[in-house]
Amino acid sequence: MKATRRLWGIAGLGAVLAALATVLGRAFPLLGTVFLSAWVLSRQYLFSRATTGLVSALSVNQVPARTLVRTDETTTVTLSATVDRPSKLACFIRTGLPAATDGKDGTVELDPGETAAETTVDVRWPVAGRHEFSQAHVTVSDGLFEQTVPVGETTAVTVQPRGPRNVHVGEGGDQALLAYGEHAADHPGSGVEPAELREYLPGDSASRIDWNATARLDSPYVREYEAETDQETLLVVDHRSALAAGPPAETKLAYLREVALALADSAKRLDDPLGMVSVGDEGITSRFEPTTTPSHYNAIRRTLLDLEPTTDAQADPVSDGSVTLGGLSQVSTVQRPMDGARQSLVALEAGDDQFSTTLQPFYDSQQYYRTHLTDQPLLGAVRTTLARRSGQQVSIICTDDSDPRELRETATLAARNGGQVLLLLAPTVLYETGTVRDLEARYERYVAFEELRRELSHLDRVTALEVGPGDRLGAVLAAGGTQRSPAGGGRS
Amino acid sequence: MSTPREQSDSASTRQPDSRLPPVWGEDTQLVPVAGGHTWLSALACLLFVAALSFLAGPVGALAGIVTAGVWYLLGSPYAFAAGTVLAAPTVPSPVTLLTVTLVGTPLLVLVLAPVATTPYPTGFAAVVLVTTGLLAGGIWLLAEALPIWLLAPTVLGMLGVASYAGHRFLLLQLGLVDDGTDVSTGTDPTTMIDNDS
Repeated sequence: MKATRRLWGIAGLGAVLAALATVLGRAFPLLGTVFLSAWVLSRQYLFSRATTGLVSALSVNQVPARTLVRTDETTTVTLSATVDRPSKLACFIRTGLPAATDGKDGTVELDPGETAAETTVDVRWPVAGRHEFSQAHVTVSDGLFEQTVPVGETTAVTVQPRGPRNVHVGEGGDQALLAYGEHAADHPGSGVEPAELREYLPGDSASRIDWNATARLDSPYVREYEAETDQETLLVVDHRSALAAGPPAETKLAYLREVALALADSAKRLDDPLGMVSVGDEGITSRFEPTTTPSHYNAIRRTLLDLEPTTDAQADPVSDGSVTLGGLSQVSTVQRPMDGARQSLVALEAGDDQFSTTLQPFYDSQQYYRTHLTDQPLLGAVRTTLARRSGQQVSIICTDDSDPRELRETATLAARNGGQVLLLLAPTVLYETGTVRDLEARYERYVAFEELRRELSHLDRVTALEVGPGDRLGAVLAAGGTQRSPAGGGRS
Repeated sequence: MSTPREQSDSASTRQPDSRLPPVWGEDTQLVPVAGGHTWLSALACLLFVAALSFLAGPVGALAGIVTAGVWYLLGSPYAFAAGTVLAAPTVPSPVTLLTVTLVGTPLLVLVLAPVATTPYPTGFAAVVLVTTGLLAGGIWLLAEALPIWLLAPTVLGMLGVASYAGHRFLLLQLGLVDDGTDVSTGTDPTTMIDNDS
């Protein structure tokens, strides 16, 4: 209970009378102090009775329009107050918004005689997490005393960070059950997983005899084990400017990154050698050769998390040679020889001597390569990387459909190297924002993408899958009608 | 200093966005403005004028009339102060029990006047009578034993203690008193709820 200035003024009168009694040396003025004290205490009694009655009859609710929002979203919070019977006291009710919100506190006044009041306020949620409301605070006053009381129930709002959600990986709108990394060896070997028991054959080493089985079956038996194999995987992640399409934090790159991280985790769990190349608008920005050390997996993971879409506005590495790329130290090892070649070529073109004439064709070939890398960075990066390797490795290329010609060339080039190719494509149509009326047009564009994906999947040793937000894909497919699903599978 | 009417107007035109509750007029919202000048209050003022007239003649009547004017313009608390200050030099000395009774009774009626309009008349009257009786009786008894300079702060101290007790009692009723129990270490949820309430 807090005294107002008015009450302090009246209490001051009592003090003045007491001082007057002291100055005059007579007790008579204290009579006024007595009546003032009685007056104050009687009003305090009335206030206490009225306040407890009001608070017990008061019902306050603060209801957020949604209890699950995303960061920086704005929702409404409704504050309502009802009282069973009209009170002689006015009260002022304030919402108990969490601290991590932006917006004006919602307040309602319940004047004497009123039985209900309500207000709605807009609240922005900039911080992710679960935010508990505190109880609404009711301030009651009669002009002499003031009391604030927490009343009502609390509630909570969960704020989710922006980012990929409902990540869909599939083909034609159907979810693909992608079990990366589980690969059968198809032949026995020196592993730890028992495969079978077979009778001993002449020529088998005596150390391979399973003596327990031999004693149990009364003839020599050999236990075979499954061979352990490694599936070398190369992750090619495109983070050029086209991959920046999409709402904030829900870009093509964000979705592809989620899938790439999952693949990297799977490779780590299975102890498969994993390499990674990231490609920006200027070419390769980072490169990791396939190995299996824990620090290597962690470095790939960190690099994936740090990837941001590059911009075309960045300086051309060919023109000035002073560009700073956003990759790791491996970038410099790639760029420096190219820069050196360019500088040497310029020097050779300036000279007319025999030395320059002899070396000119060698530098010309590097000039062709460099131009190609600049025009089609993804193709150039795959070409450069796979040229160093051969064999049964899996190439996983994470990119979008913005340049179908380059995509076809890249897939063909990767498959020609002998390994399996998995194309993870972010359809541009799923990352565009628009109105509901655009959905039918989007469906047509999605059909065009699906045709491209199927065309790529028909390439030898190439699998192409789409990566995107599942809810948007569902909306696009619903707009076109499930009976016209491009997968042709009669989705339900 | 604003009149009751002005204060009433200011209350009705308060800003809706104001964070602080409005300040009402002459009396508290629990003793409405319209009830600030009741017939009982007016009767108390007339009694006061009559009492001072009886004790001090025309000068006392004049003091009583001034007190009634203060009551009409500023309200009961200021009337108590004005009445006591004006009565002190006008009543005959030494002050007897009859004098105190004649001066005090109208003022007591003035304090009790809202009993006709308040929703809690019994408790209200009890608080007024008990407070007045205890304080007046205390002064009467202690006046012989204590000097005035010690008696005056004693009365103010008693008012402070009583008011603080009322404050704590309200907090207790509203469940806002922290009794020092660490609810996080308790084992019986029922007990914890009871402690809070």
